[in-house]
Amino acid sequence: MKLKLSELTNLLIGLGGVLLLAFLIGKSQSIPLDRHVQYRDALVRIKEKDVALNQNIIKDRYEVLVSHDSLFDLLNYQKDIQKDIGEIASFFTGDRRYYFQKLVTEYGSFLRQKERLLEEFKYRNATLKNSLRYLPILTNELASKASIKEGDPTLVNTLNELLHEILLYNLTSNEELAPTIHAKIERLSKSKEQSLIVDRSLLELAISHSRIILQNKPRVDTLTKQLLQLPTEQLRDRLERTYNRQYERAIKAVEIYRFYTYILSLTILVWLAYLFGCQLSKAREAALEASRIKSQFLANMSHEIRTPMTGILGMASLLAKTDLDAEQQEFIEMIQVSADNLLSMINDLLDFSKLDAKEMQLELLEFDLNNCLEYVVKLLAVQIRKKRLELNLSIDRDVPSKLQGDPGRLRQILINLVGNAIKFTESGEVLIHCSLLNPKEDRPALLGDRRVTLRFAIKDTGIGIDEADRKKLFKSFSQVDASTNRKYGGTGLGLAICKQLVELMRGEIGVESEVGIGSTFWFTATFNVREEKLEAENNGELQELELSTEEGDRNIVLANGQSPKILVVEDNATNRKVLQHQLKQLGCEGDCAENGREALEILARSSYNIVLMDCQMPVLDGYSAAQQLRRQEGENKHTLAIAMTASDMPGDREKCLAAGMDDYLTKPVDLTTLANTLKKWLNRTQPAESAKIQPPRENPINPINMARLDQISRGDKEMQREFLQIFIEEAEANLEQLESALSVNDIVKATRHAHALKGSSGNVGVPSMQAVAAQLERQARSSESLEGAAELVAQLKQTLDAVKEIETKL
Amino acid sequence: MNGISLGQLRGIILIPILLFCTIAVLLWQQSRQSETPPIVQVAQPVASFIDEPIHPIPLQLDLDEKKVKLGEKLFHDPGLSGDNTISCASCHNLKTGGTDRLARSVGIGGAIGDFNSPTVFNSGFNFKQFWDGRSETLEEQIEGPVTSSIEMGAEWSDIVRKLEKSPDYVSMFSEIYPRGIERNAIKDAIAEFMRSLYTPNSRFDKFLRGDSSAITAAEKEGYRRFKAYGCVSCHQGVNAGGNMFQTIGVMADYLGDRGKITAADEGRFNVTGDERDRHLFKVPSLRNVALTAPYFHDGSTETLEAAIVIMGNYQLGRRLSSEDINLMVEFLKTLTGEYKGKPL
Repeated sequence: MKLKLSELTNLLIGLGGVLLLAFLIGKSQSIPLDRHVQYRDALVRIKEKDVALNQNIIKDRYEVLVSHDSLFDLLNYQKDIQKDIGEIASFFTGDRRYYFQKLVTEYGSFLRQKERLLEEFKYRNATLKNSLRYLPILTNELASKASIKEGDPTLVNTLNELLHEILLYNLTSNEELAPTIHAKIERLSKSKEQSLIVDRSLLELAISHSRIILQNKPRVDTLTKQLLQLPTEQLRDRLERTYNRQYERAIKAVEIYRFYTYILSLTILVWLAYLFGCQLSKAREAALEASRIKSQFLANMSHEIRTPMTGILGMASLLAKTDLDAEQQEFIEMIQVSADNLLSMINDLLDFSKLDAKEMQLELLEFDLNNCLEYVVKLLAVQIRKKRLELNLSIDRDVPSKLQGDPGRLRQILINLVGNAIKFTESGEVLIHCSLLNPKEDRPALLGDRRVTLRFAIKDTGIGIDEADRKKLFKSFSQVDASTNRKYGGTGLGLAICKQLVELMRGEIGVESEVGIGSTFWFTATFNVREEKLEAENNGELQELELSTEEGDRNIVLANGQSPKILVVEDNATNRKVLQHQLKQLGCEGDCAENGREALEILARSSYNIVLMDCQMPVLDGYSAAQQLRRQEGENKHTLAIAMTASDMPGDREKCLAAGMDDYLTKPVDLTTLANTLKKWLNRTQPAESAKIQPPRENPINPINMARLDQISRGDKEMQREFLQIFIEEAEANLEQLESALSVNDIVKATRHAHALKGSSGNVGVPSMQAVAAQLERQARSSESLEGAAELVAQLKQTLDAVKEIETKL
Repeated sequence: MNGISLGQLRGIILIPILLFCTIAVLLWQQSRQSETPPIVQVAQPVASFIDEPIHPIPLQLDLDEKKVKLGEKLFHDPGLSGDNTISCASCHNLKTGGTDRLARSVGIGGAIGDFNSPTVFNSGFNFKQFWDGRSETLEEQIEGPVTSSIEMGAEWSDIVRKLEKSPDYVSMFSEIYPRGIERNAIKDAIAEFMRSLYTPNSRFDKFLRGDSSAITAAEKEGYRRFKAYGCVSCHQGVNAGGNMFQTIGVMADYLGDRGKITAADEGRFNVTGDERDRHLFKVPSLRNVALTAPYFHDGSTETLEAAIVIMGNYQLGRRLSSEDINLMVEFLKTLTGEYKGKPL
């Protein structure tokens, strides 16, 4: 295993730290407490013993002490203790150790001196005591014997005087008596020859004892003095002082070491915590990175899947337009519906991946809240009808409608939530309510751009969600339970996407629910307010929103009436074909090029109104091709170039524009977007003449926009029939009413019914009826002359008949 | 993703760190307090109330039984001598009062020693060992006879080698001494055994312990005279001697009168070289004195009576009557004690 440098460094630091810690701990343990107590005790005991010894010496001198055992016992004790102290504590270092050692040695030498003196003291004192005890007895004996015999008063007197002086001498330290005593002894010694004493040896004994006393007494005194003057006590005090000082110093040092130990262990702890934290955050980053890569992969994959999906959808829709028998038509429609569903799921997945990879960026567009909400309602109206539910939308009066934000994403959230509400509601109603989060706060929003936080609530009377399930509701990949999955289908990502989108909109999402009664999903989102204009219509009342026209004429013509010439640059053959057919549908002429180089060559030869340029291509990609095109054309000419990018990752647009493109489309390119974009740019190139919308080119055979119908019915034939039946019923009723209204010139009524017709036909997908009804309504509303109204009604009837015919065929 | 952010992590770590700090500081404070030196109290000197100059031998000593047993074996082992002929017990026969009852002991190869062998009984109570007190301790003392060329004439390395051949010794030593058989261990065991050679419970000790009927009136009178004549100036303490030095011949020239002065007669002077220590000898113990004839460092005196006379003349400068002597002999006999519960 190879260590990384940082790991090695950490290991070394750790090792160093531990070693240092061990050293510091060792240092801070350098005072063994029991040894210290022993020392203290020894220093006290040695003093006690010394004092006791000195006492006993004095006692011995004055014959109080009867045994010498205690003398050598006490001395031996001291010797032992001195040896003990000689084992100097470990915290003594250097000079101090040497000094202390010297003191202990000195004490030892004093003890030896004392012992020597004591030995001499003992035997001299014993001898002295013996003589002192015996001399009086001897003197007495001599005196009595002398008196019995002829007697020698002088001798006896001298003897008595001698005894007297000796006893006195013994008790004083006055050495002046010594010569006198000595002289007396000499005198006695001389006179013993002449004396008449019977027992001369007795006298000699007395003289000997006197001599011994005279000899030993001063020596014993000197010894006593020397013994007591030996500075053992002072030395001991010095030992104690030195020891205490050193101990205090050592304690201080130990405390410092201990402090360092605490600091170091703290540091190590913090360091370890830091390392741990680093490791944790590293692991977390790695996990995040892995997750991000996964998301990226998912996004790429989803994206890759979308390209062939485009092919499938495009070709299927083209196929549907060809001559097919009913069965084939049915199959094709099934393909279309399935592919649509698949695409929507892939879109979900792509959204989710982008959100997860934090690559989702919201657009900042100006939009009308009312339109946005209406769109949602319209889109879901069919499902509502099918389930025979009521869908109500209410917008509080103080909610501003002109907003800035991402209407697409807002719609997405709403469609998801409302779609869910419908999905899980069997009967009753679904209510969408939009209000200000903080009405009071947001009310004085009259000054230009400012923010507003809206609260959307989607209330249903569905199955409800219990509390445990509510908690995991907004988590990724989770549905309330597996059985719901089976029953209702879906990727399980919808709410997770909603949650993240809402969070991007600086809002919150939540749910209140009661099982069996219904749920209220709510979310808040923050938008910029463009202008504060409260629309009179939105006065808080529930509005039945109309379904408006969406499908118009798609044919695109140039101002001069010619079809625009368009060059498709696309390496993928399927995509190329799809685009070509789409362009054909729009009435445009389309040529193809397989890559940038080819495109440039074609462009050099002939001119086109617009170039649709794929970005990723072999040989020469779209970006480079656009750049070269701009260089090729110079200032004089500007062929419109519209990029087609497979990804709609943020930054793509900028990249395209930077390369010299004029706009960009996200693949798969759907027909409406393509039409709108082409219109937008072709009109702009000829701003003087606006693109003229040709009157609808009715398909006399099929007035129904089957794609629309498919979209709302999700390809369900049964449902389509039902839709059409409802539509026909309604339309017939409305037509009848309209006719009668027109006949009595009831403009209000006529307007209402024309409006209703317009709505329902637009919704089901009968564009010709929708257009006619719209014209009628317009005429009625503007109180224009109702000229030609009858013809229009007739037209409507005709179309309706055609619809009826088709319905029966379905 | 909802992971723990580093900020939160810091928060989580900070709490235990703060706790740790607090505890650490508290512990530190506590450890500081416990280190304040204990208050030193100088004990009051205890006044001793010993009435008699001679103290009874303790009835029980605290000794290591194993060492004593090993020491006993070694004490009787002639292997400790150079030619395997002489053991400690050869000259210190426990059956004859711990001595050989010879004036001078016979050592290795028939060599004659310089001194009369003192008894090993109660030698543990002596303040120093040998007549001249050249050893401070029993352990030190053992060195003397074992290595002396005229006593046991052995070398420690030989002794150790010999002992190591005996599994008995090996196991006994290793049981007590972690380093097994070695010089200091041998000395330690023998010294411990010698300390066990104490003879308590003599009749006189019983008397000292308060049994006034333990000794007869004559013996009491002997003791009284022993004290009155000053013998007790030197013969006192537990061992009735053995705790000081004294010049032989205070009152008269003992050695001159005896004649044939040898180097050994110089006494402690041989140890210290100090002129004042010439003819200075350790005062011998009078314990079991009735059993340890002949007497004095030169073993020149056969009987107690003669010894008392010499002491009276040369040490005390007194003339003692035969009554005095008899009474004191009576007294001295009461000093014979018991070894292992049996009278010597």
